[in-house]
Amino acid sequence: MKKHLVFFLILIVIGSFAFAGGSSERSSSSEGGYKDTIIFAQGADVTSFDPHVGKETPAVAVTNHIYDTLVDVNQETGEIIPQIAQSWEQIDDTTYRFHIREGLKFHNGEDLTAEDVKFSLDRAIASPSISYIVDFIDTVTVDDDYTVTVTTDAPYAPALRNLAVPFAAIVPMDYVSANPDILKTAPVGSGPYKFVSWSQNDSVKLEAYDEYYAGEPKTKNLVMKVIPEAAQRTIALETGEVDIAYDLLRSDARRVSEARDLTLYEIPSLSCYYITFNMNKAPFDNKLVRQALSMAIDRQLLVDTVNGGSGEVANALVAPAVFGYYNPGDYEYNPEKAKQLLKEAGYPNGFSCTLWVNNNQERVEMCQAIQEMFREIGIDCRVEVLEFGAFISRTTAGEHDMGYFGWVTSTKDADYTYYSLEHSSQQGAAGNRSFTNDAKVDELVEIGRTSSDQDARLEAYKELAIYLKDLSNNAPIIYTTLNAGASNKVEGFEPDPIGYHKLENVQVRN
Amino acid sequence: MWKYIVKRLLLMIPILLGVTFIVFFIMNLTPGDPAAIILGDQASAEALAAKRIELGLDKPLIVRYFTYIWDMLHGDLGLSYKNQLSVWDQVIDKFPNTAILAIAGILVALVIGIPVGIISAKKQYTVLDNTSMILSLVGVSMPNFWLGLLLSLLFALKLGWLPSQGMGTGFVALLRSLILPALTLGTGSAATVVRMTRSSMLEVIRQDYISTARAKGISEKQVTKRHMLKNAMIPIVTAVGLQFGQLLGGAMLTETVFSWPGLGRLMVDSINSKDIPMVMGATIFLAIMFSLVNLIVDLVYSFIDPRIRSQYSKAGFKSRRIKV
Repeated sequence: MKKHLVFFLILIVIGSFAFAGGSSERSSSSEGGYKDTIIFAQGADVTSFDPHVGKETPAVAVTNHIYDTLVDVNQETGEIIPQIAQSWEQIDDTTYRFHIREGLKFHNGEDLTAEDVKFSLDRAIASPSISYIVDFIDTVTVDDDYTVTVTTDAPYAPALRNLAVPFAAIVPMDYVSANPDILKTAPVGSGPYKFVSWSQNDSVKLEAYDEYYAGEPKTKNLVMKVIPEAAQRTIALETGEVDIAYDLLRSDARRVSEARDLTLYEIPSLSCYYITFNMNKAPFDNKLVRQALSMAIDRQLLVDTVNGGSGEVANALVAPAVFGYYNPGDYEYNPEKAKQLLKEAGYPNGFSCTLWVNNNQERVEMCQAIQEMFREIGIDCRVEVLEFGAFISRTTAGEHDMGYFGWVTSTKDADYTYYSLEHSSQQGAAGNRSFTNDAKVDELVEIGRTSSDQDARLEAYKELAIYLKDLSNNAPIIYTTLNAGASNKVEGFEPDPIGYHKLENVQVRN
Repeated sequence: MWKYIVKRLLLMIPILLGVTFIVFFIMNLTPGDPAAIILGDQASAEALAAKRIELGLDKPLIVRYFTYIWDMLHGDLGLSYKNQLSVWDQVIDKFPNTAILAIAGILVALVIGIPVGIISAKKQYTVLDNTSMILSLVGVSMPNFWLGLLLSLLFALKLGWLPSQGMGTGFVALLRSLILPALTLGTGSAATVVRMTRSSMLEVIRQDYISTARAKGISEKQVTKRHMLKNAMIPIVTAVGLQFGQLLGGAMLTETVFSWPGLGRLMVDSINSKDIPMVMGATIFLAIMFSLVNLIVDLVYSFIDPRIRSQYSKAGFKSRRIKV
């Protein structure tokens, strides 16, 4: 009898927990009809809160609320807009002068001055993880408390756009000098949100910085929850446990778009997936062969089937939202003509080759479909799946025939992509894994890189896009889209094409 | 008894050395450059080379292994490649969360497993027995992550009773968030415990001493509890102990599905990013825990079975038989 009683008591306790209303994790409300906390979910945790180290998208999606950069890019117009620097002037081809806003303070109360800017940029240049964003800088000199001069090694047109990348964040000199590792776990910046706490693999809490120069953020608290399982991110969104969920599964995205109280945000990303042909190896040193292979690929079919209808057919290595994009016309799909080209190239019966891809399910599926398309024109192509580290190191060494790669133009400027992937000085690790060494390409890339005349740059990139399409050292396949789901109560959410979504102007209705 | 415990603890040393050896070599022989993992694919060749030297990757594998062991013996498990934080701190930070989940999981397994196993054995070949055997087969076969998703679809999304993921803070929130992962984790083990309890009970159920006990007029309840279950307990305890050890280390899927910030998740993330020091640290820690759990299980035997207890004592095997 006693045992039965105990059993019933346990049942009652469990039951009461189960039915107890509202978990403490849910965002609490404040006056004015808006919640005082936004909870957003993403698939991975922050790797490092140090902006000069943690460059993975899940890290930046959090840290770009904590740190500001000298300048920013207006998402709609693509123009450079002020942030820490109130204004700037370009003195000559290689010299920029920035005027820092006066009265800016870091979250710990330290004043933000020219010294901090110099310290931060020097620190970023010295960081092997992200120096590629700022290594165009030769010197940073402090003119006075609120003026900094940046000189570059050579004329570098995208300079301002690079300085707007979150990795070029400005950090407090005194705080960081005292303990160089401190930003890893106790970040201090001058951005719209202050760091509160981090529970590794679980959540990050941020709080609005009331002295932010552009006005206090609209919602007081920001909570990032790590939910690695994509299906669970959607469930958490549906149950209301989170307000916004990043990076939904394609199959879930449809469910979210059909749900009455949820909104699906889908925007073109800045990523392009492409096949690289190793021009150091026969038969890929033959332009006709490369063109034939590219022509054998039915890109629209890949978008519609393998990619489930999301994304767009790519026609250049940079996506349409990038400065310097030019559409040289869609790549033709014509297996008959492709066979003809192979014949002209001296391979009437095709040949055998391999296509390398890293062990990512979606990428592997894409390659398997492409493999079949190659078979149509008589190419016996084997898909080989490699672990990411091995994929990178072996393609850097040039051991591949073909490789399936993805590339994000993170500076939103075509130079970032064309210089890395096409310039002859960037062969191997830096990105040029087709091992192109073409004087015309180099010349156009350099004009784009160094000219301070924006129209001349655009003209060079136009010519380059057309030339590269003919050269076919890379076969662009698909531009992907980036998605996020949010409750209908979320207002002011504007997804970022790289995934660095900013939430300081977002509010959630009660 | 103490001598036995010390002997067992000493035996853990070769086991741990074996574990470190295997994990270290497997992790290091798989392709992928840790320097590239730390610095990302945009790092310059010079930076990568410098990083490799900093990490000691320029030295031969065997030298690195002994350096690792030497550091480990000095209590230094190194820094994680991924976030450059202390491995030991991260393991210690996450282990309690895993332990909570494993204990809750094993409780689920015991609460379901033992009663169902007993009933099954006593009602062998009845509908009840067949049903529970089929259900336990389903339980063993069902993948954890799938069950977890189904449970959270039902209890979090459709019914809205429980949170779908995460670990709640505060006692009530913690318990609420624990229910679904514990059920997910415990189901597979429960099925194993049911089958083990049933077969072990069936072995003793037809023994002469059971008939004798019944003949003496002892109530069926007492017979089941004192004579059958107690004698059937050894294999059950072994199974439960092993299950618990597995739950400690094997909660990876459940922790991933439910965003439970435990050691399993940490290990999955670390394996994915080839964070060798983190994988090594977590594995060694789990191996120690697993060995300790096994030791405790062996010690529990002696409390259940006086025959085993007597083997530990110097007095040797005395004529202490189980009373019938």
